[in-house]
Amino acid sequence: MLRYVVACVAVLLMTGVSNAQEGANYPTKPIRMILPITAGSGSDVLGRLMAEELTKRLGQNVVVENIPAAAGTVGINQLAKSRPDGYTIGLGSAATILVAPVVRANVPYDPVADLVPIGRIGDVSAVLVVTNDFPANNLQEFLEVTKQSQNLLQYASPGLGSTPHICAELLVQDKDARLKHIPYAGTGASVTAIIAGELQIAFIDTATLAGVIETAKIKPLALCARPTPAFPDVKTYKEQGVDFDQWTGWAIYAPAGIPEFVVEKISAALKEIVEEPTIAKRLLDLGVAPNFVSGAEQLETTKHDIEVLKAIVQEAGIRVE
Amino acid sequence: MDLFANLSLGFGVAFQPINLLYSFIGVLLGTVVGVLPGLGPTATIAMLLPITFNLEPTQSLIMLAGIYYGSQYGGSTTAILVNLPGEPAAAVTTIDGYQMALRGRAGPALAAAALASFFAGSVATVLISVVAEPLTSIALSFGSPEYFSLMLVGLISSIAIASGSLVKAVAMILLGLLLGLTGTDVYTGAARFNFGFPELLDGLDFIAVAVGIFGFAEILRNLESRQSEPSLIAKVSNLWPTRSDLRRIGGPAARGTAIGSLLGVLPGGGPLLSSFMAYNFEKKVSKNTSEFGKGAIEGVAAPEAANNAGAQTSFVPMLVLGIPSNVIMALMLGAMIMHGIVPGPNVVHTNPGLFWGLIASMWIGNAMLLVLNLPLIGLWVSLLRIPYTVLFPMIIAICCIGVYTVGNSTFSVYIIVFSGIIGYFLVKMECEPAPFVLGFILGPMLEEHLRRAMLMSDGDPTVFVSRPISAVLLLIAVVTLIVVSRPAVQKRRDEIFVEESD
Repeated sequence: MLRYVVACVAVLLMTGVSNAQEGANYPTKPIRMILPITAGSGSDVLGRLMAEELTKRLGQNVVVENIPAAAGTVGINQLAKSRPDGYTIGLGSAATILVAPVVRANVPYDPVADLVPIGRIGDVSAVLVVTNDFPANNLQEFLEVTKQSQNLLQYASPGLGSTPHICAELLVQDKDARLKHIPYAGTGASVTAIIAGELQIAFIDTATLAGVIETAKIKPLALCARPTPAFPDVKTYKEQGVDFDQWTGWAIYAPAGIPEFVVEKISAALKEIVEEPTIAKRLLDLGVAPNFVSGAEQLETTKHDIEVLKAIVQEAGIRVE
Repeated sequence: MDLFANLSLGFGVAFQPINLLYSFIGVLLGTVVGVLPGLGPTATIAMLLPITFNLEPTQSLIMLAGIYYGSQYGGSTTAILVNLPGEPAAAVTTIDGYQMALRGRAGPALAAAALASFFAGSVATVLISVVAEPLTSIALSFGSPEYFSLMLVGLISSIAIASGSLVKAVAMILLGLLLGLTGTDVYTGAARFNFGFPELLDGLDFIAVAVGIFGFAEILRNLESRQSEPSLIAKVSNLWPTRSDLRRIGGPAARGTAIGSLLGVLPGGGPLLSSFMAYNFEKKVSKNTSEFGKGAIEGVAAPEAANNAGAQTSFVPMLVLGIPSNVIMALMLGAMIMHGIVPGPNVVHTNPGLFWGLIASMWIGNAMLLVLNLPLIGLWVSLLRIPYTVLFPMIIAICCIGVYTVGNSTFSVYIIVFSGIIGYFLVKMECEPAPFVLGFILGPMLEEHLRRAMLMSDGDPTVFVSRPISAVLLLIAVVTLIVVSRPAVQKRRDEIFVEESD
């Protein structure tokens, strides 16, 4: 019995000892990657792709955990509150990191103080699409049509407080576009609405658009934010006179307080992954423009963009309990 | 004829050994996943997607599709044997299926489910080949007003499911409706009924609730009445359906297939809605209406046929138009895009081998499932002979694990417990859980579409009658209401007679 106890204590002590040698050997056990997305959605595919590639380069299994509750905020909260030992990372998006804390009440984490970005994977843009027979081919013409219309023109969005919704509200605020918001439950429902012809205007995201552009009779008019190689002919808001180019997309995050060597190692692996041509192609197919950016730069972007979004959201009065 | 040429191309592709192998893996995996409550085809397909990156597109689609409709077969097995729907679409099968099992007729119930599903699968395969495009065009003309009216028909006809007191049935529907409204309001973002729990902001997890209300409540009830053990091991008289059983399966299977094929194509439709509607419809038109709820074999055949047909026809909008009608189709869409194939009207021309091969493999998959499941009926039924004291902890453990893994959330497991307790009280008060489930599913959909229809028509309620399809559906709803409430008086009298004779 005593030998058993001594053996247990020895094992426990050794785990403490092994931590001290972390730097050189990280990672020494599987890493948990939180995906605040429902298993099976398009973004989930992205997350699992990243996990698979990171597994190859880090030499340890990166195990995916889907925690989709409450638009991903529960998952990100778990990430923020987890031990910053380098064995828990997570996939964050503009929705969970930038938008949710601004739009939703009672978000229990601070995206700047509690989380550290390790590196950005890529950009996804919200995009304004209209049906092919809509009398406008760019943002200016679109705004003209809305101004001249008697009734408010109805548009579909993936939901209240989503990034596409904010992009639409921006047009209402800045350019007096006469638009009426018809929220749908998710991107799938909103894109089905415009394909089926129930509505003529929709604000969706490039990822969803990539899946339907070949067959649906819709045309993209403007990208809300950054240009993307997936749709090189579509001009951005900024290029068409609307001052907005905040970041939307995907990045890897970790809880604050994580050791530097972890950030560096994962960041280096991520850079390799995103810049590899076959993976870059897969990302494009998923509608994500590969664009690796270091953790430090991503943090600056986060801080800046949150302020911009706060202003828009407050003026539009968007609030989700 | 073009159809034969296409189908022969398809079968040529589907019968290649490698594709047969993947079809088999898919349906086997699907059956297992379907049997396990909580774990569903969605999570399984998602987990297997990365593996399919390295396969040929045809192979991966065949396997993934196999998982999908295989899970519909598997879900009904546990629904019948232990009153636990392995898949949400099998919830309706529990009503009569489990009753049949309690009367020692688990074998015929399982066989009916398998045969009806196979029939539906075969017909759906041919149907897809022939009417893919027209079907989808109809579905596309369904806007919010039409969905609202359809849901209304569903809700009203669900009163018909209840064989007991009318008041209790309505109460259950309302309870289901109320609980279904938990979550976040799509239009204002207001939190509803979430009591401060962020996990409830997406609503109550349906699987957790179903597992709790159907499964746990049943377990609790069985544990309470010790005499239940013998009835579970009741003489399983015949493993095979009798001739009269087989005759009774035919009609319901055909009607279920029709309903499933139609509803599967609707975005948001699919096996779940199909099985509910088919059960309701069958109950109304059947000659043996009084047996429904006590072990009518039609009550197993119709929803099973419908959910299989619904599962297969839900491929149609995805393949032909690139519109996923439910989450699983969205996954398949993602899988196809991963392989560089863009679904749409062109896919039939650019990748005929893939398109027709997939369709042909659906039939082959159904055949494999029949072969897999029929002989295994004996095996499944003998599972019932495991002493209950060993069986029920296994069931509880598997359910909890299954539900937990979907969202890595212990909260969902608490929901199972909570629902189980509610379910137990419902059983004690002799309220049926089936109308509850229907209210839970249809209620929120009804509200979403009502508000969207009003939002889009700027508050004009005549939109529901000015649109033809919606007007027709509303008429059906009114007629259904009249038909359903008339026998109410009759039912009360039946009830009194039954109680007096007890």
